[in-house]
Order: sequence, then C-alpha cells, then structure tokens
Amino acid sequence: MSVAVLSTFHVHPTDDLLDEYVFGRLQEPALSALEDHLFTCSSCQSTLAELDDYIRAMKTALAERKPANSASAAAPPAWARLLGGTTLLGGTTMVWAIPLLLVLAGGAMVSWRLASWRMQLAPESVAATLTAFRGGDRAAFAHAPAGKPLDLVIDGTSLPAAGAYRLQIVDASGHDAWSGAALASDGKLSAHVSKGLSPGVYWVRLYASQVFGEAGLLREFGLRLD
Amino acid sequence: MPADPLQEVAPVLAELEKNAPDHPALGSDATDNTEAYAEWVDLVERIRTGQIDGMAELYHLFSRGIRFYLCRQLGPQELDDKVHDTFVVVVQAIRKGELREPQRLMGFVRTIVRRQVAAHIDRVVHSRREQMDLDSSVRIADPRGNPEEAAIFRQRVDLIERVLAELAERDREILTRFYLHEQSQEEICSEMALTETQFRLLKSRAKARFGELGKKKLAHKALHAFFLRTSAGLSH
Repeated sequence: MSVAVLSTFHVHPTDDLLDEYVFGRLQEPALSALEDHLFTCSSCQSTLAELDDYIRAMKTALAERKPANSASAAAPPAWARLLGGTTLLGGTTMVWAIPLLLVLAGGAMVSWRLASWRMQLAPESVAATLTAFRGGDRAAFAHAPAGKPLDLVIDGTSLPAAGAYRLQIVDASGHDAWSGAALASDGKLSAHVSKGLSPGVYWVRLYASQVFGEAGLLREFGLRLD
Repeated sequence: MPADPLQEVAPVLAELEKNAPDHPALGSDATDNTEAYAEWVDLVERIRTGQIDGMAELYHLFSRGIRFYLCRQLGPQELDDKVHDTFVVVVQAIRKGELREPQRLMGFVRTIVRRQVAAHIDRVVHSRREQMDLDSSVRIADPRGNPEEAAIFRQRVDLIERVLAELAERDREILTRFYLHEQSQEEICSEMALTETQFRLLKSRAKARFGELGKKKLAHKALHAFFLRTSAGLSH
C-alpha cells in the first residue's frame, strides 16, 4: 500500500502493514502516514489493539511450546534398539536395518555439508554479555566489534517475571537502531541482532513485552561498538 | 496572548474530559481531502485566536487517538495526565504560531506526541539508572495486569495452542520465526524457500482459525450461561 493511499482517510491499512508496524519494521514515510491514520480512525485503533493482543498471546504460546521432537530425541532411535537388543525379531530385522543405516548415514552427511555451507555464507556472530550499570559507569559497558551480528546475553536472575521480553537498541541520539524478542532460557535472556551496527555508543533497553513502553521497561544496558 | 496559556487551557480540558462523548473521528468519513484540510485551517485559526469551541473540536478530533497512542507506547499508568499534558502542548504550540501550515495539523500533532513519548521514556530511563535494584520507592506495574485480564490472556494463549497443535511442524516453525523471533517475511521466505503467498496464507489461516475457535468458545459460554439461567429459573 503506497503512502499516498494511506494518507487518505477512508483507506485502512492491511493486516500485513499493521504487523510491520507492531514489530517496529515500518519505515518513513509509511510510518508517519499510518500513525496519522491511526490518530483519527477508531476502527483501525480497535484492529491494532486486537492485533497487539493476538501477537502477545502467540508469542507466549510459541515460547511455552516444547520442541516437537524433544520426547523422542531423548530415547534412542528404534533401529539402534533393534540392532542392540537381545529380543531381536531375527534375521528379518537385520536384513532391512543395514540399508536403513546406510540411508541415515548418507542423510547425516548431506545435512552436515549443508550446515557447513550455510555457516560459511553467514557472518560470524559475536557474543556480548550486558550488565546493568549505575550512574553512568562507563566501565560497565559491554564491548563488541561494530558491523557484525551480535548475540546479546543478559543475566535474568533478578528480573521480574514476564510472559515475554523485548529488547530495543537506541543510539546515542535516542534513535531506534534495532528491536526484537529476547528469549529466556536457563536463567538468562538472549537475543540475536542479525544486522551489524555502526561504531558508537548504544543503549540496550529491556522491556516486558506484554506492556511495551514505560510500564514495561525493566533495565537499560550500555553497549559500545568499536 | 495570555501570560500563562496553561491557566486558560487547563479548566477547558478538565470540562472536556468530564463530558467527552464517544465522538466519531473527524475525517474518518471524509471522502474529499480538500474539504478536510479546509476544516483544519479553520480549526487552527479558531484555536490560535483562543476560541473555546476550537479547543473542544481539537480535543474531540484527537483525544482518542492520542490516548490510544500514548497507552500503547507508555502503558496505562497516569494516562489521563499524559493525554492532558500532550493536549496542552499542542494547543500552546498552535497559539504560539509554531504550526505554519495548518493543513499539516495531523502531522504536527503526531510529531508532538512522539516527542512527548521520547521525552517520557528518557526521563524514566535516567531516573532508573540511579536505581539499579528495585526498592520500595520504585514501582513497576505487574505486566500481567489484574487477575481478570490475566485469565482472559491465558484463555487466548490456550486457544492459540490449540491452533498450533493443528498445524504441521513446518508451519509452526514459520509462525515461530515470525512472531517469536520477529524475523521479517523476506527473511523467512528466503531461508525456508517459501513464496510470499504461501507465507501470507499460513499467517491469515492461523489467525482465522484463532478467530473461529474464539467465537465457538464465546457461543459455548453464552449457551452454558443460558442453560444455567434457565435451570435456575425452573428450580424456583
């Protein structure tokens, strides 16, 4: 949908456009045009509020969902049990187990080669552990190289519980540089910043993402990229 | 121009907020932008010259949108005060002549609201930098809201879990990438060899299914409540 169409009062944004707005991916001038529309269109305000609720619930449901194969991954594959067990079905089992082993080995080799190839194409991420600081103590800034993807890690032990967390990175001028979900696991929060950021000082803000904005702001961290 | 515009505007605001009806947004039914812009030029002039009906109209036009935007960005705490402050800033700026092109009233209000949000978050962040540990003087709203809201939210999550259980693993992965990891449509389609149509179809199917299950649940609740009332009536 073009900006010119959005600026016309009686044309409403699509669900896809609202998705982009909710995730903070909408850029100017479409962003201003959409917000102008939302200021005066109560119908779209309601649609956006419903979308916010839907996305929050979806995030929570997906985060709570266990990996699909976690139960079966814990148990040894059936073919291993058949080969190793004492209660074999006899010669019939051994006959088809061997070609099955060969197929699986071939598949594993292909998967490994594909994964290696993908890793070569993707720039290597750099890990950065964020520490909350007091009163502008620059020594507590995390350091990382500029221009590279980042894997941000936060110690979550003293944080209030929330359904989901979100990080926002702003530059020294307060402009939004990146935002995305932070995933909780083993008492830590982690987030992957796929785009490389320019050198400079950044502030990383952690929110409880069910209430984005002031009421959901939990911590702020310093990050310097050189 | 009065010495303190705030003193003149504040009582008007209080009255407007007390009596604010659910006013349909001006312009939402406008089919001609030229007419709307002409209305704004007239409106701005009335505000600039201090006419109360101008401020009332501005309030009816934008208060709901400003309230919605501020609530979304800053949360529901002290929302009335924030809307009030924003409205005062807008009126003051108009009366000082800072709006040079009245037909750009919408963008002008938007800019002021955004600045209010940014300034508010900066104030909160600066004050919290001095208080790393939570103590009794620092209150952060429970993100789960009140128990009723938490129960409603939990119901929504349960419905979505039912929707997810009906999907194939690959479809769940796509939704996980989009909603949980917040990958863009382009990234997902590129990494998972999907077309844009396939992606959008899955997204809308999941949302539609969620809506269906929600309606069924509501209908079931209404029927259940009806039978409860009916049986209660029969027992008398």
